[in-house]
Amino acid sequence: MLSFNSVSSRVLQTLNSTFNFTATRHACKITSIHAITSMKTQPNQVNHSVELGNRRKCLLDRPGLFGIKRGMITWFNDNGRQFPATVIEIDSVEVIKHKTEQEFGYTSVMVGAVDKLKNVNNLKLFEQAGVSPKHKLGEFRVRSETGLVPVGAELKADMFAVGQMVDIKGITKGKGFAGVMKRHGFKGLAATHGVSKAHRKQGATGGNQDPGRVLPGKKMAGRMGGRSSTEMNLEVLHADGDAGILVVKGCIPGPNKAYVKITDSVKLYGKSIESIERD
Amino acid sequence: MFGLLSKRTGFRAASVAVQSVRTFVPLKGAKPTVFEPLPKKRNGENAMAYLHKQLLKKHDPTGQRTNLINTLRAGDIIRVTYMDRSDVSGRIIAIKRGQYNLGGNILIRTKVGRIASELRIPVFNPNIRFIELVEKPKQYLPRNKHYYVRESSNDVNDVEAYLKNKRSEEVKQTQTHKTK
Repeated sequence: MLSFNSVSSRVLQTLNSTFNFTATRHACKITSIHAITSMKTQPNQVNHSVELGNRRKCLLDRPGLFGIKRGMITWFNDNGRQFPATVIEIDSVEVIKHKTEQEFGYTSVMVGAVDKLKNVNNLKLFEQAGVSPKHKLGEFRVRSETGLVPVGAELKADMFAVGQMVDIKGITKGKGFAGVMKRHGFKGLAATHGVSKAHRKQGATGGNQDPGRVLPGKKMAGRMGGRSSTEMNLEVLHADGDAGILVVKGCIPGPNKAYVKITDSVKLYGKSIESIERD
Repeated sequence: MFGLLSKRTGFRAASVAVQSVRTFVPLKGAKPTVFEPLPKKRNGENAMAYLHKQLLKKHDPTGQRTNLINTLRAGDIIRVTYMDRSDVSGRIIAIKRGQYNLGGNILIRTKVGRIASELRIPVFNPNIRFIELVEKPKQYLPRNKHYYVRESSNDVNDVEAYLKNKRSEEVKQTQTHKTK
């Protein structure tokens, strides 16, 4: 048997003799790492961080109010047009505390509503603010520190102008365990044609052996209501600061006597720091 | 056995002794000061009632409409005149009276030709110039709401025509009276 080397040498010999083939070797040229001037690069920004999130978030430049829903009335404007309107009571809403970005990572105004003198805890908080203890406590995020209303100041209903738009956030009326027709507006099954004891049911919930399971997020019967909900862009019809009454056009979430959070309309007056800088 | 008993009695005696001594436990720190609440708004009046009063002053300064909606009854014939001097008349079918609400309204029914027509009149609407009671029936039908008269033997007739006839008859009577 012939070895591989002998074969290759023989092939080379024949190649040389026929094509005059010559092979040359070159030295590898690599620039020294010290010859390159160094340059500092900026660290990567993590978009999913508190700081950048704060800059992106669409916020208002002033806090809002806590109110109590008192009921609905008929409202007539000067042209004789008739609207359903909701009456909201604004009862001793005062600024309790400021939260600054250095300390908490975001800027907000802590606001309390409705004086409460029995069974109160956290009395020191109210002592520092110089206000009476409150029944309802909550925060309003503001865009910058210019929006921090001084601690102890009373916020009145007339901080909202008549004709402006507000957003109202509340907790909807709880409906308990509701069927699929009430909860998701399904049409139910037929009244006749052999349907038996299943007139308000959903029907089928999925496929066959494939996929062999009910897909996640399938609309079914369950707890309905009792969730947070925001009604956006409601017009202010009447704002009486001294009497503490605010009337808005339309209906708002929740039952009577429930607390609601009222702010300027985010869609109209809300801006992020990023968008302001861009403009 | 005896040892246990004696221990028990000993414990009891001690507990009694502790109870008999009055102790004073000082507070850990000064209590925080509690500031007075803000003065009550509207003198503590219900917000809905307060607003309702204000709105009534605006929309019904004389109190005439409030009086009307409280005194009118289903079966009465009323005439409503609007700000542009147009008017409608009809027989009252139902009155909705709201609490702390300007939404009170009167449902009137009449017939135009043969076709029955119903109209809901918002009593406190500023577009309404005045509402007047034209006629009270000799005998009222039962119930507060007369929805059942629709398409029945007690149904409303053409109220406009009825009032016109009545007026012309009255005019005739007065003329004959004068001639006598």
